[in-house]
Amino acid sequence: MLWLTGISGWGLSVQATGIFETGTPEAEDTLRRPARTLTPVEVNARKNEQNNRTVASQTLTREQFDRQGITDLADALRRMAGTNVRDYGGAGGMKTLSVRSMGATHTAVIYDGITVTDCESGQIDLSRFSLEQLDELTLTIGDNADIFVPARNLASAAALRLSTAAPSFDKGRTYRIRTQVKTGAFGLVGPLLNYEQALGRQWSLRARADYTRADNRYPFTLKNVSLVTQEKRNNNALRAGNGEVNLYYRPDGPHRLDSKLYYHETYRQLPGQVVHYNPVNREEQRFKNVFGQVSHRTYWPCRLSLQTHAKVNWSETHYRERKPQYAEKEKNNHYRQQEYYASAAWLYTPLETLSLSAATDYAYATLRSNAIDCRAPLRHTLLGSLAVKYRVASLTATATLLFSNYRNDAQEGKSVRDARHWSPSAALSFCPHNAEWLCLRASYKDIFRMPTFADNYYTWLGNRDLKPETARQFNAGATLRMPHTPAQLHAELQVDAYYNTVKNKIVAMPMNMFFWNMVNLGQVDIWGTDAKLTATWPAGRRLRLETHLNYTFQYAVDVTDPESKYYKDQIAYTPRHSGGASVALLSPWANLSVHGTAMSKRYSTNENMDITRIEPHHEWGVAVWRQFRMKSAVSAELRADITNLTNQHYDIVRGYPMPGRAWKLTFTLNI
Amino acid sequence: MKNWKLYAMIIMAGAAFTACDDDEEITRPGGTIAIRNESSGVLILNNGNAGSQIDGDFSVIEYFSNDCATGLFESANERTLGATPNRAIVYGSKIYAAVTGSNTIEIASRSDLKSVKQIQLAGNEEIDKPRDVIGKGAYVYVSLYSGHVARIDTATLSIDKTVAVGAYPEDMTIAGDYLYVPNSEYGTGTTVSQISLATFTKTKDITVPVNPVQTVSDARGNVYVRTSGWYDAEDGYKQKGAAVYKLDLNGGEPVKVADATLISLPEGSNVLYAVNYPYGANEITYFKVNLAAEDGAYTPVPLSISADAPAAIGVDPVNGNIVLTSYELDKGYASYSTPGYANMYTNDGTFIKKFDVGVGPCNVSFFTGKKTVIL
Repeated sequence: MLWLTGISGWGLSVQATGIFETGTPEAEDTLRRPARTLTPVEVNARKNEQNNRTVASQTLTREQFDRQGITDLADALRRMAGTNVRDYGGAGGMKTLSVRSMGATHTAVIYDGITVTDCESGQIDLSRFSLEQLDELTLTIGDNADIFVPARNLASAAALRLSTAAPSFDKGRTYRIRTQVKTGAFGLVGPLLNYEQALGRQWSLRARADYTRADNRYPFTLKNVSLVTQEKRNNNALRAGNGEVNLYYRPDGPHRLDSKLYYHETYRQLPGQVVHYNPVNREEQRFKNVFGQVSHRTYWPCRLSLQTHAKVNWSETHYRERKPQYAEKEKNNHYRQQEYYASAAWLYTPLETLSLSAATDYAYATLRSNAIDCRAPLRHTLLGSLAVKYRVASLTATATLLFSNYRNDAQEGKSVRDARHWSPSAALSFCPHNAEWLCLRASYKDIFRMPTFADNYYTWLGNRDLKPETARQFNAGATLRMPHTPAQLHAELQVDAYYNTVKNKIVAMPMNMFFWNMVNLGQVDIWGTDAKLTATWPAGRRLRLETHLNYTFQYAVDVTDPESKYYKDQIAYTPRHSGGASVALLSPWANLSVHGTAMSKRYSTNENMDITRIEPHHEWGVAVWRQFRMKSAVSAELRADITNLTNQHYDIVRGYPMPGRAWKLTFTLNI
Repeated sequence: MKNWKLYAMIIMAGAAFTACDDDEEITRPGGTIAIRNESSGVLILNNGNAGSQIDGDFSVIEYFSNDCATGLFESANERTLGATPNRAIVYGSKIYAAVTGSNTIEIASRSDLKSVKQIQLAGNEEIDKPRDVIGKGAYVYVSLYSGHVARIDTATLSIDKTVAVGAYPEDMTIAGDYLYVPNSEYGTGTTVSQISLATFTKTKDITVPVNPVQTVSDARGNVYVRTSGWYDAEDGYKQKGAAVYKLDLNGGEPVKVADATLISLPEGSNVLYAVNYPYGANEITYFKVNLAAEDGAYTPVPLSISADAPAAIGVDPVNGNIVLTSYELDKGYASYSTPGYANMYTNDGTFIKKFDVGVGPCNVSFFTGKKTVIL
């Protein structure tokens, strides 16, 4: 009998126990022999491949980062269907992810099983994660196929799961070192060190540190009607550092323990929007984040599994602007957040076809800031989830119910109203056993998001009476897989069609020229299609060709007021069409990858006017790399990247030009 | 693009730099000529919307054709006016505009709007962010958010002197030989600075109620200040203390004239035109006050003008036309990123026409000048 225990990242451990006959012809009745427990077998396999067929999900692994020529996390996300990355330009520039036009506040970011949160802005700046840290990233829209997760992982419309794997060592080795140096255009330098060590048979350690600095003073073309000038992006320097220590405990038996201590610091100069005739901007921001998290998993022979998590998170942001008209010639805004989080989830699998899961999460978050007119607001979050998964023949049905209870308070001053919500979701997939090339799926998810602390408490702008935003998602899709032909060509097509509707959207509205307020106004209807095609072809004995294509169509319109002149205008920053492609040729001599992304026209406001139109763009890049195997376990890799090969001038966010052609060289050594 | 050449022939800038002296008649051996004050149109300054990267521009209403055109600076110069222009005046043969967001002062010819000079202040360590412009004699004065008033010599079109005042100075006025500038200090200020035009130095600070944002003066040389008050956090953030006061230049207490949030006191007049719509109010009121009433009281007289979300009000000093600009309403709120409109009325409140203008029509001024007529 086999059953699945807790799954994290892409590792999967399978335990086999049971009564076993020895098989030797003895006079003894072997059935009366005592039962023996076999030693556990650890199977490291990718479960997500299966997941991606039953739910709308896309995964990229470490090897795929390389093969598709992906340069950073924002690039990886742009290659996925349904994503809209707001990129402010330059190495380490702020990047937020909106999925299917829901907005970045509806995207959960999960790092090694536990959500990363920001109670002040509600959005996670993805530039703090570098692709070098990760072994896998998965974007899931709607619910995960794995129902055995903390309740908070279910509490968003879309989830981006960033995972690192526990170290695994080759036979006879007890340590591994990976060191890397990258350098590139506009003053980019980034050293990295990754160290893995086995501590005895049951413990292992993974420590990582990296630093990135860049000047980002890249040239761009400024078109002011007919006045075209060549400018340089000023005040755009970046200094960022990460440090992480992971300790893993894998004893014989059912227990597993993962623990992590993480530190991140960024100092970033903010160039601001490009303003005609005024290139001077003196804003800067410093961000520090420390968190510690512990995850424990275990199971019992009675088919019951338990996972518990605990996390303590502290972060601080310091924003500074220098202007002669400020008192003391500068403005300083400080934000300090703290969160304590705990979660417990149970999985019970009474039958092979039926799994039940129940999870409870509690989080306590506080914010201290001089930019809010309330002393130390705090929020208690209590989440409870129940999930059922039923598998019979080719059909899998999942139903989840999430209960959310938010209680707000403040040390001084009026706090926000409390909120309570029941969020159901359901998913159905049909993967016929006799037709392995096809998998059909359909899902529904009802979710909401609480106003952020900035929405509620920001001086003058905040509104205590805000209601949460509610969203309903409907999705139907299919995965078609081409069976292996004699030529060994393998192709897979994933297509999803969806309808999302967001109500009570929280937006800033002007009361008069000086006084704006956050209000629940706004209803958005989103119709869209995501398509992703992957084709691989081993050409000859040592060559391999890989192609990836993704395309997204979105009709995301504002339907707040039928009387409005701008009714059914496409919402801000959402292109109707967007997509990406990459072709990689892999060989033992050298590897080559060519990749590109494109976006159709969009508008910087919810009103589609000529004056706020952003032109369509396309951007191409090329990467070449080669691995060198030196003596025994030492290997090295040298890689060269050129991004924006055709030196396109474009903005993703209006007023923030993206860099033109840029080069990057990376040297990695593995010991 | 409107027919600028025809329009330019109607107005002759003339030698007089101060608009609106009384009409003169001059009799010479050959005959009598009259030099009349004339007003040929309205200059509306559109703020744009910096957040949505919409630069500002001019809209011009031409009385002759009763038509309006927008985007005129851009069409004339093939480049934008800049981000968040706040104030523009027609002075002599030129238009002067304070473009706050782009940190420039644009000086353009009034006949074809082509830029004559652009003063760029980006990188200037001392003065920063021009806010308001006003002209008298051979100079145009500019208030700057860095806490200064700068003087531009109209002959050289360069800044020749600056004087320090309080933080965030806003809309100025000139009465007699003095310039008055309110120091708003971004909402907490309580002074109006007085600057002598002869020496261009600050002579005194006058204490006023909190948050002074605009000073105006009447035909008799009295100076008035409009304050924006404060937003009461205890009372739903209602705006309180937004009113107009008459200043006592000898140090006495200011006297309240009326509650108002937008005002216009045309040059050479004693009548104040006002809109009152503080945040939290349920309705907008439009009225005028005769500042030189015989009984000495300030009695508001209702005006039959109206708009959805008033942005600015201006009254033509020659023909008395009232121009009221407004944001358009979208989804029940004023829209700051879409084009607004301007309603024009005759002085007695009779509606003339509604004109489509640009995004954020925040300032109204007039094309006035002198015209010579042979009698």
